[in-house]
Amino acid sequence: MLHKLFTLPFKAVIKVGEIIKEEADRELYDLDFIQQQLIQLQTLLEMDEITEEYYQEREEELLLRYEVAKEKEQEKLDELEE
Amino acid sequence: MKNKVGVYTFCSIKKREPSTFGFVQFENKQTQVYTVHYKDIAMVVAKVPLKIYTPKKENLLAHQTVVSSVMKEHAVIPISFGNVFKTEEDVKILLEKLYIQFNQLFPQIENKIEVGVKVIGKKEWLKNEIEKNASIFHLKKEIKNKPKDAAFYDRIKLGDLTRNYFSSLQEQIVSDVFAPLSKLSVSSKQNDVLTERMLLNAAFLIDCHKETEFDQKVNECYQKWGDKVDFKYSGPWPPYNFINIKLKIEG
Repeated sequence: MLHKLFTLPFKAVIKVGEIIKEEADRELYDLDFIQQQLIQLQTLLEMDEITEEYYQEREEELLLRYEVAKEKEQEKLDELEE
Repeated sequence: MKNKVGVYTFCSIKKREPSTFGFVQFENKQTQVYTVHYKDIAMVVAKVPLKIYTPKKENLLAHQTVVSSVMKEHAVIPISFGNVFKTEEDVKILLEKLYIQFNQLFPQIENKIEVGVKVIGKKEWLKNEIEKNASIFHLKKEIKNKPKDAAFYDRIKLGDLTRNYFSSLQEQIVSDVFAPLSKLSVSSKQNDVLTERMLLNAAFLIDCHKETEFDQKVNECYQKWGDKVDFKYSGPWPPYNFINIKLKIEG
């Protein structure tokens, strides 16, 4: 697979790169995905599988991502309104 | 967005006359909960500063508290957390667009509630069960006797065996807990399990008059499995898992 990737034309490699980035962006800035992760985090805390400290760190990170995702959503909405 | 006021949406109800539902506190600001109407349906809303509300505990609780209090008197179509519109007019346009869809949904959720059942394997029981599994036990022993690098593929195999074993436990719980509870519900749904030890994460839509019968069935399941697993039985919720309106921008 790796060999095949290197024999692809440069454009195709860029395309693969774009797809990978899109997937990463989806996970990073997908509101449903972020909310699902927050629920999972809350469940882990309730089950004593993680510490309160870890919970807070991770929650903060997820809430920041949520805020960015919402901003992106708002930008899209503003573009549509223009 | 600074200093601008927006309209936060909680849920929709079937109602023609304007109503209020007490107050909600969002990030230290208290504001009245009221309805915005289109024909005979209404959106339960509150005027809030126009900004992004993150789903932190206090905000989620504020959202949920309003929906729960509306639920005491009405069948509700829940709206997902965090949707703020610029004006009441925008909310009316949304209601107009969703009018037919909402009118079809209301009779389906009248006198129905959602409950959640999560089944989580107790650590000690899971450990004992895994140790009882002959193939896992032998492979673990083999790995222990091999140098770390040489046991690489065995470790992958052990991971697969353990996963398969957990899947078989999940199937057991589905047939022993999920299936009988589903029979008593109008609709049921299995969500993804959220942790390794979680064996079932299910939601059920039940008729209000069957709530006691459903409770009894959950108790029966608990009697049978309670020494091996923990049950997290929650609700009543609005039908989040069956009709949660997620407002998404397309284009």
